[in-house]
Amino acid sequence: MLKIKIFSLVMLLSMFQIIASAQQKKAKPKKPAAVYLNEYRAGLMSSPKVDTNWFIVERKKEIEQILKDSLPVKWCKEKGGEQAILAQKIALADPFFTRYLFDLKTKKPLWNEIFGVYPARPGDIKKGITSLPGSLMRVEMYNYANNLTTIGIVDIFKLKLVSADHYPDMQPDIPSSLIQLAERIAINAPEVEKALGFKPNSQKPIMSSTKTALNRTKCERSQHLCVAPTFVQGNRALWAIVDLTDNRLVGLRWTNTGTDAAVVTERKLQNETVADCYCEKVNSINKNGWNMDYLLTASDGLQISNVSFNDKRILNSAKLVDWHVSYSGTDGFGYSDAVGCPIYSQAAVVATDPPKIAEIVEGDSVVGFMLEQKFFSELWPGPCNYSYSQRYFFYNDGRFRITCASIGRGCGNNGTYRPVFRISFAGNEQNFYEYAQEGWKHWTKENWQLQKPSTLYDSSGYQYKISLNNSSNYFIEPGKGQFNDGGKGDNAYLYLTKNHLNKDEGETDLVTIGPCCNTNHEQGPEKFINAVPESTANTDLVLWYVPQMKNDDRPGSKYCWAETYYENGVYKIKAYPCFAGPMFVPQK
Amino acid sequence: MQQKQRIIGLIIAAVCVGLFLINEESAAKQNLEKARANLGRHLFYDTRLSYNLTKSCVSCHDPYLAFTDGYRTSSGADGYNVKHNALSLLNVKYRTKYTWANPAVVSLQMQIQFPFFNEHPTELGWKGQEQIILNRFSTDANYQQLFKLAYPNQKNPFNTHNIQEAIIAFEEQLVAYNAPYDQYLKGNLQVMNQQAIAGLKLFGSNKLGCMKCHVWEQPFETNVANFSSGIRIPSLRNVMITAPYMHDGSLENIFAVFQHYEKKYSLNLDDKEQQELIAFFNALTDTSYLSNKELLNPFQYQ
Repeated sequence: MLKIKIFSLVMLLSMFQIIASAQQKKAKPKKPAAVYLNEYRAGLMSSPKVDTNWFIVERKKEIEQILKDSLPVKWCKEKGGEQAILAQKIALADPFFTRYLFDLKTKKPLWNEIFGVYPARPGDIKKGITSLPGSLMRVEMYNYANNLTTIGIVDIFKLKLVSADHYPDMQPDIPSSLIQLAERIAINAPEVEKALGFKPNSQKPIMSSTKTALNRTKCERSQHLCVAPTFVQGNRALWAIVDLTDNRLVGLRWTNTGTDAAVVTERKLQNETVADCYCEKVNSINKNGWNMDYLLTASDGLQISNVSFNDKRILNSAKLVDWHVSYSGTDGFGYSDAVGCPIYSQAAVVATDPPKIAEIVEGDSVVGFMLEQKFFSELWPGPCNYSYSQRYFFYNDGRFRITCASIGRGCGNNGTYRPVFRISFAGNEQNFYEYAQEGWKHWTKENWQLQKPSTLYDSSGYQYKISLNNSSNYFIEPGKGQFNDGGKGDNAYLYLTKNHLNKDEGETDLVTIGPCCNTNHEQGPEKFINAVPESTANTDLVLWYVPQMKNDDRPGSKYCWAETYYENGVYKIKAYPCFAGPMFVPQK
Repeated sequence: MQQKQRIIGLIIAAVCVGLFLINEESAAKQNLEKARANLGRHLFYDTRLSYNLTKSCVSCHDPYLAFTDGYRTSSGADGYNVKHNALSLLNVKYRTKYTWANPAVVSLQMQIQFPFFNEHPTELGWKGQEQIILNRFSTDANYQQLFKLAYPNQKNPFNTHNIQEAIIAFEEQLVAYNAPYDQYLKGNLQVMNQQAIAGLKLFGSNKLGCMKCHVWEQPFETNVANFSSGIRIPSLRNVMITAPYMHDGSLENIFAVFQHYEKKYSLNLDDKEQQELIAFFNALTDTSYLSNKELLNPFQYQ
């Protein structure tokens, strides 16, 4: 009897348990996020069902037509004439160059476009390639589906491709037809009209050629090709973020451009000698024991190469690959810019004057010399216009420093500038060390590190050390505000990668390698660190150095900023540059 | 005897039913809280929350920066900057004061009105735009589902109150009380090295007197914030990832903070002591919440 009662009680409890768990299961909410994610994409991130703007309709028709061709590539017919057409023919006849035109698995055609064809400059040509003068052309192709850039160098006399490289997640300069398309999309977008309060027919946007990003859209981390035609309105700038992969506006953002007294600009006209004398031709310096070549590249700034001091070779090359300018870490929008030679670039910030060589004077003595290149947007220092300076310092005692600065003023007073330097030391038995609590610690693998408040320096202020062929060592002293150039500290990411002789990881002119607005170490150079980092002991190394400078428009602490002021009846320009970059000091 | 057993059986059954109902009610309540927090999470990360689709809560409260934004002062939907530096939202559930300079704001419900309805400058820009913004959510199939789960008994749950309540429910999930220093206080002495321990001692020393103002925020307890010269004294939890500092974001980095107090109080901090303090501040960092995807962007993490 008792057994029966216990049994019924257990049954009763089990029944409750079953009902309870069934009801709990029933009450458990579904995972709405998963459903929502797809809906969000469907609702906000896909193309509108019907495109009514004629320029988008035509573009889409053109794409459809090209995808039916045997090679799904839009050719570049904007400039270069017959030579440019021939160069494209040669490149497209090569299976390595065309490797990614079709999906590797499904063989479906992918949308590709040749963005530019230029005469190859010394910075584009790999070691060992010989050719007749003027016979090499550089062909830049973009694959929209894979977000991949292919760069080929072709010899139009020998009718062959002499080198080619594929760069995943990198984007070349865009052609003027795409700049026009982006501007049309922005100007005709009802969202832009609503935000500005009028349709900006007569107001031409600026920075339309500069690549951008925007979080929570397909432009995030530059997964699509996106640009931001920008409209300045009073002390604000409206960013119309246009996705050129999907041919649509994906977002608007306002930035505060700071207050200014008057619009006065250092409008610069391009100096023709810049292109003739410094883009086409390698120049040399032989001064105070220093020997080097220098060249204005298409998009990697002023490059120095074959640098030696007292006949001892020190650097293969050093250059400024990108400028990443972020106006919001959380929204992830800004510009991913490059600086270079005016005639080969669609970049908005270009060299207008030749490089300058000047003496470095300390006290009454000349202690070295400086090589400087300045870059300007046409309407600098107006809002959303940029000016950069690149300076190499060479001292009589063997020290040298690689720096750059934003001279202001840019598109907002909440900006962070991140220039990307590539520095390749000479010799193939190099070793790299970091100062740590226990002394100099050898980096045996490819790696990256951020300079932080807790970073340790040795007693002289050095953070790193590099040894070249065991014969000479250089200490590396990052900026901490000690160089008397107004710099407030580099706060830099440093990357150490192995220099490969058999594949191009930046030896030649690089396209934009990183998105504008990542706040972490993903600035581009990390792409050259393998999934399994390679050994960096006794080998050929490359340093990538990415300082981070935050601009400031507040009285008394202006930084990376420029403004106009009134004096003696006229308006003048005052700049507050933010210089950053490391000093290299030979170990005695 | 049999009757007695029957009565006992009935009592046990009644207790079971009661326990079941309590359990049911608490599970339902928990599910509801979860659903509200989940709705709040979506709203927190969605730019449809601002009148011109440009800003959301995350624009100024980035999880990777301890829910601050790294700027001196954040800019609103129209690009104009607000007056103060964005405060961290971590552990906001246990706070009693919610703005930099207004001690009268004593609840999240009071605080959330500012980003919603402020006009000078506009932050999210709800004033005069409420219906337009609400319509965005009420016409979206996914938000319909999210609101239904969060407010199952309401016929029309698409209102400002519910949106704010859901965001607050999400914000109350943002808890980070597992910094190395928390573990150290619990007896795990290995988590702080000698430099950090020296920094802790220095921080509490009479030489610096930091603790006169910066009282340690106790985990999972209501913490009272003090004000000095009308400005709230902030918690130092996650201080190393919440630069720039001060209520107006005027000090760029931790060294500028040291300099500021050096000028004010002649502390005579040498480099070694500064590094010790930094090591201690690093021990106040807890980013373990970043591994909980339910607190991160739902449009990236399902």
